[in-house]
Amino acid sequence: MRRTSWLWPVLAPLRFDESGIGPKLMHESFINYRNHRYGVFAVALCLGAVVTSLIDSRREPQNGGTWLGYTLGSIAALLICYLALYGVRRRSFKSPAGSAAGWLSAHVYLGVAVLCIATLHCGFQFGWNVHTSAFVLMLLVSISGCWGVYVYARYPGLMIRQRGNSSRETLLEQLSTLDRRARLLVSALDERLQSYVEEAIRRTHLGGGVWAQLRGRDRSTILIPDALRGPPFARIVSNEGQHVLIQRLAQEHAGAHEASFAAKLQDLLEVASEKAVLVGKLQKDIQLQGLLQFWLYCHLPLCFGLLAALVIHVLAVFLYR
Amino acid sequence: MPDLEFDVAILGAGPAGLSAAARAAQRKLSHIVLEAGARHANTIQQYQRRKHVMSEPGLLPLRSDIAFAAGRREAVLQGWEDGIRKTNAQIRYQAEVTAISGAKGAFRLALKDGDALRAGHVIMALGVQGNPRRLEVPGGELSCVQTALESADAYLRETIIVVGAGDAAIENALALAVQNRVILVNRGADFPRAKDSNVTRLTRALDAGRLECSYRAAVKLISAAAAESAAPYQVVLGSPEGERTVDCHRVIARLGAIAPRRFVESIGVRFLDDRTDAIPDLSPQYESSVPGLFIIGALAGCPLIKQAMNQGYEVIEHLSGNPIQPADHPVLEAKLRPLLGGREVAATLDLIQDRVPTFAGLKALAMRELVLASKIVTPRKGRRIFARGDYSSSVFHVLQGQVQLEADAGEPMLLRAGQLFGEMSLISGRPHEIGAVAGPECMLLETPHGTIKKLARTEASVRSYIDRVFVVRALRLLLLPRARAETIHALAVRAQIHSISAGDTLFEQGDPIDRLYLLRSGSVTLSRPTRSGDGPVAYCAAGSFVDVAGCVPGARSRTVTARATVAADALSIDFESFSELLSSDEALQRKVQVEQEQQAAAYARMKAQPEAGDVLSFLMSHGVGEATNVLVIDEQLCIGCDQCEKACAHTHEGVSRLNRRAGPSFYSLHLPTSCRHCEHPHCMRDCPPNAIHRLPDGEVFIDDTCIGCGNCEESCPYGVIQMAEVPERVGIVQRLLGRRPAEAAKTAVKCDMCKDLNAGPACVSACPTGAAIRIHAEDVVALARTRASAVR
Repeated sequence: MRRTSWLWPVLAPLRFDESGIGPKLMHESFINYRNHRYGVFAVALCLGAVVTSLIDSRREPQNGGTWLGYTLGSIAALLICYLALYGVRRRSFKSPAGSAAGWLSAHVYLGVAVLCIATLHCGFQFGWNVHTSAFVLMLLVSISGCWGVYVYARYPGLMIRQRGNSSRETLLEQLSTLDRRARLLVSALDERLQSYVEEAIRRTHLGGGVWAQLRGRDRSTILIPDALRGPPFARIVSNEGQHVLIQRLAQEHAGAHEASFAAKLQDLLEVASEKAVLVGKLQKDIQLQGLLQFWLYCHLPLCFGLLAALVIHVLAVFLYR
Repeated sequence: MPDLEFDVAILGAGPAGLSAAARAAQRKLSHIVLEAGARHANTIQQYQRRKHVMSEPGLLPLRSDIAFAAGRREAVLQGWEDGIRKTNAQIRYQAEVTAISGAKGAFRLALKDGDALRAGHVIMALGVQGNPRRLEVPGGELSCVQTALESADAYLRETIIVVGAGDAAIENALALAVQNRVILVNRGADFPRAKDSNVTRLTRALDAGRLECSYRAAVKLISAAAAESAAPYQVVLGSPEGERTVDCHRVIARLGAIAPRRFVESIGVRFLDDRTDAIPDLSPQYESSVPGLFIIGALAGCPLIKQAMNQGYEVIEHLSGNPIQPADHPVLEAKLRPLLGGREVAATLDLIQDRVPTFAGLKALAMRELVLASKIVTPRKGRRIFARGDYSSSVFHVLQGQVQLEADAGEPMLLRAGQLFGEMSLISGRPHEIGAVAGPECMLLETPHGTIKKLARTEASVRSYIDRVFVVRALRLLLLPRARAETIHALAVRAQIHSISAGDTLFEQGDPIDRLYLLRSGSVTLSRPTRSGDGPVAYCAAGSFVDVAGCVPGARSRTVTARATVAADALSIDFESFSELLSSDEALQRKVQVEQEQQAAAYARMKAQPEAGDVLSFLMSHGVGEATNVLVIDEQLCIGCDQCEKACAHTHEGVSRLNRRAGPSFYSLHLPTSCRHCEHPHCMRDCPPNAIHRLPDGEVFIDDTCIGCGNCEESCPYGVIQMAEVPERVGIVQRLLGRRPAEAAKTAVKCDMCKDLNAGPACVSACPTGAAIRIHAEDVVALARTRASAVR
């Protein structure tokens, strides 16, 4: 049987059991991890802190400088260090210190508990100083973390549903199949339409920079030739939802004189509409995937800011007491 | 003109043939090597460029006048070319032998080009690859037609026609399609011979338009193209739609090979049986059933280069009247030392055969091979050889002393010299059902599963003996732990063994209930037909009774269909004998009742939840039925962070053994491409250096004796083994000092379940959201049910 190292419990104080890898275990999210074990622990911690503060507040007013203030402050500081260790665990793949899901579960619940303990620690005394800045940063880290929890819990399922249970690779393959079909259909039609369809395919746009990904708008364009003045006067316009292409094909369809020509255009119209839906799905998928990662880019810098502010706060308290 | 005469004619210029020729030249025997191809060592010439050729087995000394050491393909081939020159070995290329007649002292060999020659003795060193089938069409002999592909990178922006429907054709076509236009020509409508993973890759590439495929098509004609055309050659392809002409640069025909066996048999050589991998009946000096005709190398069952070269040397020494001990003699002597006691090696091998009935019918050569692959162990009294629940990859025979087998119920069994144990795990591929403890002065022969399975395939006597032992032990262990030996033996005689392949049925709904089935290996699903096809209601793994719930008193016909999910083996006894036993044995009654209750409840639960049946069908159709540990990702939890792959690469020299995105999904369950540690690992079936092992916890891993032959990669139906260059790790400081990592040879890499990490598989423990888990096939029903209730 696998044994765990005796060294690690020091760094993983909340590990009560084996690493959480049992063959009998079914999927268990970080939120439900071991029947909300860390949630229960966090609630108990907060209740304990609240009750002690209530009792103590009869003796002396709440302040960071009382014995209880120091105790709560120390607990909060230690918790913050422990929470930051999650980043270390995430990157140490050979670590015997429990599963990353367990760590994340503890990280989430204790992260919320820190809010309560630190608020009790400061005794609701806020001002324009370095101490309050540490508190605000902690608040922001917590909020961004909660946003992350929401994102992790909700988006993966949402992404599967909106992709209709197929993978992104499958959708991309479907897209190229549609493009091939469109090219095949239009090859029997006149050259103007061919270049129109070709332009629409060439200028179909997925993803892009960070902002484009997060906004999730279809930024596809199309080149509209100027029949009178020639190529230099062609315009590039938005082809969001393939609407320009569809509109143009519909116009041609309305003006068609031959049944076979109209039938081809009808097929082409259907392909273009299918493609519009598919591009929409892919765009949404890219957006959700982007959002799934974006919050971390807020959480991490704030977290480092918090650690710095915490060090300054502690030094300031002890040096200028 | 009279035929040329030689003392020895050697067929095939591979390592075995070359070594024999070099020795013959040294011994001043007149000799000739007849090689059908245009170069020496065709098989190795076809290896990819710069491939590392290993010189396994390391223990065995090389006995040859031609040098050979592990190294790059080019260096090895050059070494042999030098050897041919130095020793003055006589080789005639492009000389395919079509018939051999005559007898010892006066063989007559007819060549394809019409020549003939005479030889006193014939040595066949043909290998097993055979001659590649050629395109038998006009123009098939043109230089643009090739039967092998050395490197796909050598061609750029060409039009290439690949003919064939096997794995080789698909792999070549896919590799070439990266930078060329490729047309795959398939005579049939699909690819029944190819591996599933290859078909999937091909389908994907075809859908994406990366290459073309012509079905029910054939090459009709190849000719040089007109001067102004885009490519130098023209190929006419015929298909049901009609003929079309394609300009192309080359045609690669991967049509398989003509196995040499038929030719060898036509001369009168007897094979041990009819299986495709059977070996010829040979004497200890490699002489076949035709006196004067010797067979060495891969065709004689020795696929390793060094062994083949040694055999070439030994045969010539034997022919020149110098009887020498085989090269493996010192190795065997060292292995057998505890048992020798002043005896000769050959006598000791005979002694083992006398004592151990499993090996009684073996030929001397097979016995040597067996002992070479095995080891002798002498555990102290009271030492646990394996525990109940351990996986193992060995079978044991007691050579001396005693061994005690401990089951949960019933008396412990005492085994004496000659008896075998570990056979249930061998057959089922599952953990041991009983533990084994060494008795006083115990000496055991430990043989790897792969070796014994290969032996059981080729030797009917070994197969039937192991089966007999299995039946008796299985009946005792699983049915009648307290019964008398006579009762069990009487029942064993009436037991039958049924082998069914994946997808076949053991019995169908409505069949009469006439036998009780016990699954020996593989797994089956029990299903009831529904409006939308088969609805699975239960899953049975090896070691369980199939549909006992249906065998209630008064029931006449089956209410379910039992279908194998993977190749399965079942043992059955007739229902009357079983009913008789049942009425007289209370313990058995209780056991059957418990099983009936569990199965009946499981049927009902699954029936009430048809989605769970769908999930179960999905998992089974992707081979989870034979998995002992399979990675399953819950897509509802997966955030696509790829921590699993990163963790895998990080803990395995930078090469990830899992591909998260690849693999099928259903009901938000995703089966990524990653090893499943099968009950009967396909990869272990044919590993020349026996480098693939199974640990007691079930992990299947490849050790560093891998020779990079790629057999395991080819055998794995799930495409989870890759051939990779695992680079040497050099620290930053050493890099600054100018040290560079040594060039690595390509070896097979696969998931080893992070056996060296205390925390278990890194892919699972690194998953931050709990999306990745590893489960055993036994848990699939539970997984299917939770999934069906989780996703609505």
